[in-house]
Amino acid sequence: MNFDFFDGFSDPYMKTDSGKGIFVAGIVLGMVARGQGGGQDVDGTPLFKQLNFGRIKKRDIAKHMSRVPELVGAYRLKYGRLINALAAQGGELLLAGNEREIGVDGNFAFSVAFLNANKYFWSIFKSDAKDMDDDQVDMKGDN
Amino acid sequence: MDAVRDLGLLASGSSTGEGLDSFLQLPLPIIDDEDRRGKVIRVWMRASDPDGDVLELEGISRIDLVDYMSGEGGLDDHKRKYLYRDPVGSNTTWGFSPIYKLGAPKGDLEARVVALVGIADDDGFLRWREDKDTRFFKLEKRVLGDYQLSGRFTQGSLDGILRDLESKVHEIAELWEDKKRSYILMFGLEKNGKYLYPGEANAFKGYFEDKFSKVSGDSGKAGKGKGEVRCSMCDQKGSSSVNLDKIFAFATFDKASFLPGLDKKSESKVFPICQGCFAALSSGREILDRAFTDRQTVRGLNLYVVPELTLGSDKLAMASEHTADFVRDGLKVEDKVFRRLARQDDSLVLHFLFWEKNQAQEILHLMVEDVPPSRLKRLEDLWIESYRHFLWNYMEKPVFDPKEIDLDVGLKVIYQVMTSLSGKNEQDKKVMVSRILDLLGRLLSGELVDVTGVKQLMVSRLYGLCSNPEWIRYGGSEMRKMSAVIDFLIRANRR
Repeated sequence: MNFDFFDGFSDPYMKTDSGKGIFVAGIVLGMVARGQGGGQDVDGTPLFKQLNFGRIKKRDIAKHMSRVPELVGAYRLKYGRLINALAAQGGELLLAGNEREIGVDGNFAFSVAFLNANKYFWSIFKSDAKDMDDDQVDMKGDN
Repeated sequence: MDAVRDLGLLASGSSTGEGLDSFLQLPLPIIDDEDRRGKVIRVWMRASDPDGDVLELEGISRIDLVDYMSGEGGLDDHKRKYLYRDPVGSNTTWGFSPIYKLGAPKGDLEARVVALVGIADDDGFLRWREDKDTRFFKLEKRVLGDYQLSGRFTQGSLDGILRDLESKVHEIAELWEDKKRSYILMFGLEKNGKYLYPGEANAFKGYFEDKFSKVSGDSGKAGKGKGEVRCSMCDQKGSSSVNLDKIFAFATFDKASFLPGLDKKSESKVFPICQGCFAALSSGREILDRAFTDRQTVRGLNLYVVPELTLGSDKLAMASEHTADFVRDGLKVEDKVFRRLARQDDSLVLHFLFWEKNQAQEILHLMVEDVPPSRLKRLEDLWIESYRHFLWNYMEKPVFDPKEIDLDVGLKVIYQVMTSLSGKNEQDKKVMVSRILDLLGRLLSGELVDVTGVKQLMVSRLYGLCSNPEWIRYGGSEMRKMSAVIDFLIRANRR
């Protein structure tokens, strides 16, 4: 996993474990939602509908993150192994960060990551993508 | 103010800046794009004595079309020929020159005829005198009518001209055809087969001078009965002066806190200016309007960029050639305003003025003074970094090229992002524009920006935005733009 992209952020929040954890959670849940949608618009997916963007609490994220392996299995998501691995990493970061609430910074970071999940997911797994078959990898950026 | 005056002095090439030239303006902006450049519909009027101070008009001999600013001579020669100055207000019944701005045409030939003279009644008579929306009504009421009232046209002259004009309305409508161009209708005289421009005819020149001396004299309350007045600009004593409101309409008198502005009798004490400085400032303002105005950065607002040489206007020769060119030529040839400004050297500072025109009113929204170009360069470098991380499309262009990015895009993205956060109604949008201006003001003046506040605003709108299917379709790139803006502001706050 390559988290170099965090170096590009000048926001000090993105240098903290909490910030990174929330961001990674956003990527993971964004990938799950995209998988649920199966090519449809992401705003129609069950996961998207459960998220109150801008008002998300830390326990909401914890709750959804705990269900990721289950959802990956249930929806037979593509790249499930990578999503699960990233979810584990995100969980660790979230635990290491000791802020009680995610607040404005967390909500902002989560939304950026969620809506750009594909882009950041593949920048984390760039090297893994090279090892995969071409048809397995959808490298198209969001929008 | 000093910078505007210096611009005027620089243009007139003297330290006094007197004469009518300084008060002349151009009726249309100069546009480089040939397909959008303005056109002039010239009306050739026949007069018994074209050189006379009073004109006895005999009718219209012909109407033709020429390119705006065509013919021999430089900018000043053209200004003298057109003899134009904006009317003093939108509800006045006179102008300074026999020029009427038709604007860009709309619709087919028939629609254009209707725009000019309205719809004819059942008997085929034109009723434009009763239809205040027609161009002819406005032309008579706001431009030509006063020439006869003031005695520059003999009694009955105008009726003949308007009758001829009416009969040639289809001809005018045919010439007024290109929707991409702005048109003016200009009334000149025929003399020995040649066209006399308004500025070449004594009657029109006399009229301009009469009107202008009245305007500058009326406002010269400063001098009335009070002996000598000191000029607020050059500190010289003089007996006649005008007030700053004659140059900038936003220089209103209602600033109770600042001088005896609310007392009508004392208005003259607010900002008296001597005739020499009045000429230089007027000329400076004309240059600002023509060459140093940007309308792209914030939609609906004009941005004056006023350059000021740190060594003084007489030291232009000491500035680099690049900078001297900029001070002389302005922004007009450049689409990317801030890119150009960021590339100036620090032998000049820039003043920024965001203002809005509302009829005759000019509303000043923000003024940022003394911005060195190096600050803009720094902002541009910071924006390039933010762009690189959030907005560069590595799929399309794997190699990052900073030359493709400039501060203009940065300010545009800030504007777009912030307006996307405002509500739908006009009031919400206005509030957001003032927030944007606050932000731009802080960036330009090098002050700290409240990044948390901006982020909070973005987050507070996320719930609404995410429930909008239109927005969510581009949600990824919209969020990346927001991130780029936040990232840029954080970088700008670092010292």
